[in-house]
Formats: sequence, structure tokens, C-alpha cells
Amino acid sequence: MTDDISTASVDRPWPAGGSPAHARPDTPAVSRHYRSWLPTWGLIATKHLELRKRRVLMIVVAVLTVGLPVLVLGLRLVFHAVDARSYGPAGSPAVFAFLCNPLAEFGFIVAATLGATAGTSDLTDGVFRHLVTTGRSRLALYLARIPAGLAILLPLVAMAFAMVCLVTSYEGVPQPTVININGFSVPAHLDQAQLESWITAHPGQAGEAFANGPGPGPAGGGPVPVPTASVPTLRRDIATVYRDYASDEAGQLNPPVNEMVKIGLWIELYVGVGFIVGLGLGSLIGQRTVPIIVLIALEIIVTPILAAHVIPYFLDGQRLVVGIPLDQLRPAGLAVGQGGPGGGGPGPGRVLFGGRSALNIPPMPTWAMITVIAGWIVGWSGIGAWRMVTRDA
Amino acid sequence: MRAGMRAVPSVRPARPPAPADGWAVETHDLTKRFGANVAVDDVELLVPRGCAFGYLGPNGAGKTTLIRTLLGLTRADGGTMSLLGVPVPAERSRALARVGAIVDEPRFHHHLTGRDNLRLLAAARGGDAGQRIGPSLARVGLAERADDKVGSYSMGMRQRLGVASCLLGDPELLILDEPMNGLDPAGMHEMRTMIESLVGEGRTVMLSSHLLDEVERTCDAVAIVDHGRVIRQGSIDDLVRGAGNRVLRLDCADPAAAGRLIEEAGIAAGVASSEQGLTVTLPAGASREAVAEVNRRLVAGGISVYSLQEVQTTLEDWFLSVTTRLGEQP
Repeated sequence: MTDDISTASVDRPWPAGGSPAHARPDTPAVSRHYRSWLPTWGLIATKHLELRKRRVLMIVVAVLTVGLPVLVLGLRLVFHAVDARSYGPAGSPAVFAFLCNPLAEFGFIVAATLGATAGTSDLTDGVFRHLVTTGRSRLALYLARIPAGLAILLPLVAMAFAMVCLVTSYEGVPQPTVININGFSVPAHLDQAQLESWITAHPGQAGEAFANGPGPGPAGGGPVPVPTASVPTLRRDIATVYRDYASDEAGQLNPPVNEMVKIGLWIELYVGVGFIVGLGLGSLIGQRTVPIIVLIALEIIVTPILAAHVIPYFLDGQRLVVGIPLDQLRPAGLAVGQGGPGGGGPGPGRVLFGGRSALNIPPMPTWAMITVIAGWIVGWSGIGAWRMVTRDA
Repeated sequence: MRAGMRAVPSVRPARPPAPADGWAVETHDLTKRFGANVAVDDVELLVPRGCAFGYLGPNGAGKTTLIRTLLGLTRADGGTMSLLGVPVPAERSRALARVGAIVDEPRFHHHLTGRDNLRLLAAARGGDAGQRIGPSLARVGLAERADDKVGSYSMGMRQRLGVASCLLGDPELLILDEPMNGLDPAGMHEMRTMIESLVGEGRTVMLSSHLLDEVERTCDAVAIVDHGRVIRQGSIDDLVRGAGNRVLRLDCADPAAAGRLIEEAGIAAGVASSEQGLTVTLPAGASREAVAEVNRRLVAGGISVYSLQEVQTTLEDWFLSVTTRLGEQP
């Protein structure tokens, strides 16, 4: 064996190539479109296809979004149709809140699952490296997942919510003309000026109805013996009185159309955030199970605990958990289902969705709510995209 | 002779002049480390255009890591590289637009059909890649199964689907990582035929493999890699022919006397006698005349020679002689 192992190619000709059919004299320009970080329609559509064809996942998503309203409302409609005396109308404010709140909660979990799947399926299926070797911008590959996943999720949630709204509006209980506050009847649909006039015209009734704050009164519906508030006091605090009145109204009447729109938007925001966080966390970790477990724990354990108790010296930290500002944004029409309207006291949350801060911690300013929610959306998108761009494929 | 043989240290070759149309793949001092382990060690690789090029090495030699580095799937720690004359990773998108690649085994979304998987990749490629889905599937013989889920495909079908995915971009260069892995003999034959046809169209096919026989049948040129270093590269004919000693097998009367006679004549690098006959190893670079001289000496010494046969050196023989793997065996 010789020690001379210098490359055989040094002074020897290389094998002749094949026909020059594919030999191009110069590299063709790659379109700007191809190198752009913006996802193309084709990228989004095919990612949507990839997610949509995951049969088990789609069944879970459909059951946990559309399934619950279909089941509950379907049974109530059937029972009412069969025996109207024993079973009341399918829709009511309570049923509305009963269905919308789980729609948001389950929607968040389903969204996190779908997001984690969208963020990891290419990796776990071994397709990621194929995609990278196409030369397409990795950022574009990541960003394509967002509309692709939301295009599945948001319509399903909208469909479920639309069913709830339709049944509540058209198959619901007749709307009362008065609302029950502390056992006293107060006309419904008053604005603040009209309420003030009504208080002036009915000092005795108003003084007892609004003496102890809002609330529909005892189960029996009878008046509650409470100290009487004077008309001047009520007129001086008319803003607070009106907010309490509006809360009671929201709990006893079907939400008006504009309130339904707010609730719908809020639920879509809620599940949208769940999807974005799931996507980012999935992309960061690179596998699906852990992000799903973490986000379920966040949604059903961590957030409720943080929302229920003020931790000394950690209030601002509590508010950084996305569920807190999202709960604070919860529209008034749903606040009833969260332990009573305005449970957390007055708050600027109502600025956006009419939220009543259905929390047991002091509400946060609107700018802070927006910042925290936007921070979670942008932050997790950035983390997911960064990991996608830097990951070894 | 090979047992215990160690690879000699690599010597950096003088670079051959670049062809007029440039190299399909070119690397200089390319290095990739994983902690203390150097997977790609100062690799100088030149792949000419329009041929089938084998990147040959034992398992763990760094073949896949080099390919992953070339394709931007992982970052190099040092050195430069270019694909089709386009520097990467600086102009990765421009380079990869003309490259098709399979890294490791071709894997796809099992819940999608073959066609849908190609749609996904065509969308990532953009341009008119979508229009090549049908022709690519037909080319690899998957047209009839294109609408079946990939989960129902055999390994060979997935390999073919991988090649189809490479063809979506009408590539000038195909980089195939172990394309024969998991294929049965018929599948290997199909893959070989396909590679030959791709090269026949003027495309360059660079494939990594540890299957020496397949590489010898498929490729025009090879680079041998061991412990992350390219230790030789060139056309297979040149490498094998220039590998070293000529070995002769003789069937003659009185092999022992014949062996002594040849040793005394000093014309052989080694002589060994066995039940199969006499094996004579001529020095490296020995000419055909040296073979005739062996015969003349024996006849002149009064020994009848019944047959004299030169043992052909194969790529496998040569590969094992220049890599370290045999030496590592217990």
C-alpha cells in the first residue's frame, strides 16, 4: 500500500457528464416572492389541507367546539317540542352563558392542541427538512401555519356560537319587560338618564332595589329587607347604580345583538390566543404532547387559581398570565356565568368588550390588558418563528 | 492483507482546475462539529456537473452531516461551500431553487396521499412546481398509487416518492442520501436506472451510500469519506486502477518451489501459498510486463504453469484498504 494518497482527481480528467440539457449557463433569478418571509396562498392552503386531513384531530376539534352546543341545544329543542309544559324553551340567558363560557374554555384547549399540532407536525413527520431544502424562507413556512390553523378553528367556533345565538334569539324564553333587582321590579332597557328619571319617580322602590348593590334577590323572588338608600345618594352615584342595573339586565335578558357580537369576538380572541400560544410553544419544544399538557394546566388550573386569589406582592405577576386580562375582557353578558356580574368590582375592562372583570383580583388598566394579550401573541409567535428559523432540520 | 490495515493520514490534494461550467458542489475547509466530535473535518469536495457522484463512507463517517450542511439544514462551523456555483448559505434560496434533495430516509405525512404530500412541497417551492406533480409521479412510477395514503406505501415507494419530490423543482442537482436503503434488489435496480436516466438528461446526481457495489454500478466518480474527512476522490476507474498492488493467482506444479523462485527473483512484493494455489502480489504500479516476467521465470525454472490469473481489484477492495473500519473490527 502506498503512502501516496493524494487525490486521484488531481491530474486526471473527471468523468464526462451527460447531455447538457440541464446545464444552464447562469443561475436563474429566484423570484422575490420565493425568498419572501411572507407566506404565499399556496403555502397556507396546503398547510390547511395537512391539518384538515388529520381525521382524529378534526373530530376532537369539532366535538369540543360545535358538539357541546349541538348536544345541549338539540336535546332542549327536542324536549321542548315533545313536552312543552315540562320543558321550557331551549334558549335562555342562563343557557347562553352556560354554553358560551365552556365554548371559550374548551375552545382554548382545542386551539392549543391544534396550534401545537400545526407547530410540530412537519417535524415529527419528518417533512420539515424536505420543506427547508426547497429553499423557502423558514419564516414564511412558520407564518403560513397561523392562517392555516385559524381558518379551521375560527369558523368552527363561529358556527357553534351562531347556533347558540340563534337558539337564544329565536327559540328562547319570552323577554321580560322588567328585571328583578333585590326582589324589586325595575323596567328593562333603560339608559342611564332614563334610570335616573325612574329613580326620581319611584324613590321608595329604587331606594330598596339599589340599597345593597346589584343582585336578583332570593330564590323565592320576594323583596329583601334592606336599608333604604336615599334618592340624592342614588343620583349622586348614578354611574355605579347604572352599572349594577346593566349587570342585572345582562343576567336576566338575552344579550342584544351588539352584545352577542362582542361575545363572539371575545370567544374568537380567546381561542385565537390559545392557538398562537400552542403553535409557538409547540414549535419551541418540537413535540406536541408537552405543550398541550402545559396549556391545559394553564387554562384549567393555573389561571383560575391566579384569578381567584391575590398573591401578596405578586399581583402584577398574576396579571401577566394571559388568562387574567382575557377574563377581564369577558363581556358583561357572560360575566353572570362567572360568579355574578361585576364580581371583581369596577374596572376599565369594559372599554373594549364591555368586560366586567369577572375576577377576584383588582382589574388592570385597559392598556395593560392590551399589552399583555398582544405580548403573548407577538411573543409566542416570535419565539416559535425564531426556533423554526434556527432549528437544525 | 487488509486486516489490520489502517488508513494513512489524509494529504490535501492540489485542486484540479475548475471546469468551464463550474462545479456542481464545491466545498473548502468545510467543518461541522458536534461538541468535541468533528463530524465534517476540513472537507474539500468537488463534484463535477453532469455525472453520478458517490459520497462513500462507512456508517458514522459524516456523510449525512455533510449533506445536511450543504443544504442548510444545519450550520457549518467553518469553511465555504457552493451549490451550482452559488454560495451557500449566503444565497441559499437561489441555490436550492435548482437543487432537489432527500436527506436520511424520505419521510412524508402518512395521513396524506402521495399527491397531497407533493402539493405541500410544490407550494413551498412555488413557481411552476405544482404543474410537475403529475409528471414527477409518472416518472417514478407512482401515478397509479398517487392518491393512496403514504402510510400504505412500501419503503421503495416512499423512496420513489422522495425522488418525485426532488423533481418538482426541475433540479440541475439532486442530492440523495442513501437512496438504496431499504430497497429490495428490484427496487435498487429501478433506482439505479432512474439515476442513470437523470444523469442522461444532464443533471448531476450526488448520492451518499455505504453500499459499495451499488455505488460502483451507479456512479461515475466518488469521494471516500472516513471520520469526517474526504480521503480520496476521483473517477472510480482511476481510483481502483491506481489503488495499489496487482495480485496474481497461479495454479502451477510445486507451488512451494515456485514461491521460492519468485521471491529470489525479487519481482514480487509478496508471495503466499494456499490450497487455492499461489498468490503473488506485485508492487504498486507494476505493469503488464511484470505479469509476463513472473510466468517467464517460472517456466525458465522448470515449473509448469497451468493458469495465471490477475485478481481484479473492486471498489470494495479499495474502499476497505483506505478506510479504517476493518482495522476497528475485533
